Amino acid sequence: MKIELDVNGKLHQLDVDPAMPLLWALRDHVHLTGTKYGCGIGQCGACTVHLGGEAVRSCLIPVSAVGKQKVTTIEGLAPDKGHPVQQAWIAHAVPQCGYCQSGMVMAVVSFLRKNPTPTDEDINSQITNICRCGTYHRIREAIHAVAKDEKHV
Amino acid sequence: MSKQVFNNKRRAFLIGAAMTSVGALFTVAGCSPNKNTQQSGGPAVAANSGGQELNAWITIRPDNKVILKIPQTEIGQGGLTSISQLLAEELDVKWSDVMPEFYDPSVNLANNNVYVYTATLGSGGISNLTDPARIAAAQIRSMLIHAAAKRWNQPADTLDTAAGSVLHKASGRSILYADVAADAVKMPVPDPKTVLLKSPDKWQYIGKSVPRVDIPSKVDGSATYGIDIYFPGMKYAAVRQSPVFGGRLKAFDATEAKKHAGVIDVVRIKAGPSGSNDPTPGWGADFGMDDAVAVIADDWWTAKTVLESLHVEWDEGSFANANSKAIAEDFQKALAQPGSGMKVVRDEGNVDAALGKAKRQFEATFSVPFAEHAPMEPINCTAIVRDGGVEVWAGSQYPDEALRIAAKAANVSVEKVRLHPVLAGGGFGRRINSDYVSQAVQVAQAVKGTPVKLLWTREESIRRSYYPPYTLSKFRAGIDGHGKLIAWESASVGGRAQDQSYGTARLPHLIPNIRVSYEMRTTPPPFGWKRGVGFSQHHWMNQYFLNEIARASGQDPVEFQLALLRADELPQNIEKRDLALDRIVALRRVLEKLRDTVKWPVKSSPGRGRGIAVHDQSYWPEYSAAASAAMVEVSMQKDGLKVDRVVVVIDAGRVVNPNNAIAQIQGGVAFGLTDFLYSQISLENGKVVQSNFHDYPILKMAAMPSVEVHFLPSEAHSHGIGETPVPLVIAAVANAIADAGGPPIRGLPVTAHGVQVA
Repeated sequence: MKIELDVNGKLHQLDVDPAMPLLWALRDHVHLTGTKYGCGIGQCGACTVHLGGEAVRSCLIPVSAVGKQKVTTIEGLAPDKGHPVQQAWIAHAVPQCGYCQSGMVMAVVSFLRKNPTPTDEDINSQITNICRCGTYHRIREAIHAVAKDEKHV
Repeated sequence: MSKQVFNNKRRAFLIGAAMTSVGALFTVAGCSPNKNTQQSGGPAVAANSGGQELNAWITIRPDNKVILKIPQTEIGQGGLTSISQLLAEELDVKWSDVMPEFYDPSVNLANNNVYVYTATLGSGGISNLTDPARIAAAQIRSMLIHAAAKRWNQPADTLDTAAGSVLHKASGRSILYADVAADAVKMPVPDPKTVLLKSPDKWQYIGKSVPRVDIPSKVDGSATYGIDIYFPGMKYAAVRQSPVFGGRLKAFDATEAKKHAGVIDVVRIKAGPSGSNDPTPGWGADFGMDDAVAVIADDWWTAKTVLESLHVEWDEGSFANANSKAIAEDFQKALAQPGSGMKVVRDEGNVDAALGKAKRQFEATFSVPFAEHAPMEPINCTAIVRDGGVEVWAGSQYPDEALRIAAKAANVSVEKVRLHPVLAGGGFGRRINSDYVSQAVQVAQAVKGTPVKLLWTREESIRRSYYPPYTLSKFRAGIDGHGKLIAWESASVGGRAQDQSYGTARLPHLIPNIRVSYEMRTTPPPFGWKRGVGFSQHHWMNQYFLNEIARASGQDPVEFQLALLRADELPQNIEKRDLALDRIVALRRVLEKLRDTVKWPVKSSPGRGRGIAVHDQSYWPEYSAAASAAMVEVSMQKDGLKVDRVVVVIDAGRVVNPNNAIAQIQGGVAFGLTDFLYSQISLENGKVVQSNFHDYPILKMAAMPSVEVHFLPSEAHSHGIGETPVPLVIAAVANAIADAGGPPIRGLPVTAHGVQVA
């Protein structure tokens, strides 16, 4: 099926199975591989992208359900790693293997838009992505650093 | 993870010896992997652009940038950065000129292991590579100096170096390394035993928290992992293996599958070797891989969905009826009535007599299940077969062996294989085995000339892994009238594995009568090393049982352990006394420092508890990794257990990159807590029950405690630290639960043994 996708402000014409999850359309057809496959069942969040500005787990969304909504991937978040969350991730040396961090950054950006000064409890209940390397300690610090800075608003 | 791999004092170096060139075998259809050639993902990662190769490690480019070959895979541990620090230090170059690249396994194989230690396992990178890397770079620095000395007709000892230039202070002359590199390579290679190394007070990089080179590319999606390798026209493969370990593929009907749009082929993958799981001669073992079937398609989603609908017949073999309950019963029986399989691995004094004399006896039985590594990046590998050769891209923890397995799978000589190490999205031991490399090569043979990326689902990754064994251990101990521990006995039964008895036998405490026994029983899953190795199974049992005896006899657990770690009580006439003494001194030092840091004993209050543990990851008598001690604070409220705070004191020798070392310890704590709380692989009808993160949970943000790390200052050789925190935190949190008045811990994971997590 022919499908048109708006990814990072650019239109892509794809000929794919309409049931294909957005994740695989992005990775294997748009060739944007920053969005990662971790579980395929919405558990880990490695595939988090923004759909119409909201964080979603792209492994659960059929590409045919995207419609006209704008898709933003990690590659389209900000030029030159310029987003405050990306900057905080670098400053706090968050990533280890780094595989989950695209999804983690996308989840945190969306979270901070809604809750610019979160408590630890907010972070605990809202940031549910899995990091097997266990970078949570630094993620928490980096989130608080961004919140203090408030440049993300 | 391994026995002593290399004796630091007696390493042989081949640096500067004539290198056997491996040349280019071929290139893939005029393309390099997607985006860029920055396979290591760092900002300053070299694109191969010539320059003077000075030895296997170092190439100096015309623009004075320095390409450093790093013989470790980046699985998140920071090896690309820390090994670069060692090389850049002795070479004396600007950090901004450093361009780390992964080593080429073909170069290592053709040059008699010139990189000394290329497997990324056993926390061995820093400890095994500190000397070779520093010496290799110091040799090049010396050769650059001698080349400049010759050019300027000055004595070499009047020259110095700084920031990538040779300097002659007396005349004010200087020359860039790049401008003298071609001459330097012709200079005699200094003796590795006497080459001048920088003194620690001159260090600019070693011991500094240099920012990791791979981090920027990991926050914007540009880092290229194995799963991201792309070539125009490449194909994708999904794979299904026998659902029962050891099963054989009988038949499949691909008629319908092949009609599906986008499907190229459906192919059989043959069972075979999966590679040795350790580079130490005589120690590594190959647990093999089973038959599989793969669908090759234009994209992975198509391959995966078509594979799901494929009808496959398996001969499930001898494990078809295996289940966890029966295995547990078999192990219980083996413990209750020890047979000839139960071997005594340590026997000192007379345990039976001492137990008979003991004022009080203690007994407990503990269990640990099979577990899986679950790195975030599912298992994958890209391969192309053509012109009688094979080219492979793999995030492997053991690229040399992966290359050999690729050669076997393609039935070609190793000279016909090139293997490109790529970033791995976690490893934790899973990527030591090369089963998936063999699979990718076998699939690529079906579509010769076309690159194929083989990718497993998460379900396949959890169900067809290499697992540390299910283990059941029974302990007995006795104390005398003064509360002193006089007898210690443990007997363990573990599943099919390489010998895991070290995990329980290397108890460093001085107890006059000790007997440790171990029996290995045949269980279905193939064995694999997992972060923390045998200590993750056994260490907490030892530490928890010690803690339980102390508490039950009204003694402080820290003082109880310190009383068993007394250098002045170490017998004179024991084997390898120096090592035993080192261990006791190091363990005592971290435990005392922890005690003082947390102001132990902390008075317990209702529902709150604190536990301590001490550990040195001693793989083998000649080689011990960092000694560490931890205190864990927990709360046990009505809604369950919460781990609030972890304090770690660690003696890791010289720490090359403190900020990265702290990250490793924080991550090790999270890994240990996942093992403690959740990790369990069980079997029903020969198949793994768990399949994905909903039934094989990983610690999330809400359960992550604060982690405080204190390094003890040290000038000693650097130790590995990646694994040490895992067994350490498992033991400490178990002891904290006891202090909080929680239930006795008799098995992991605790959520399967009645402990609820808040």
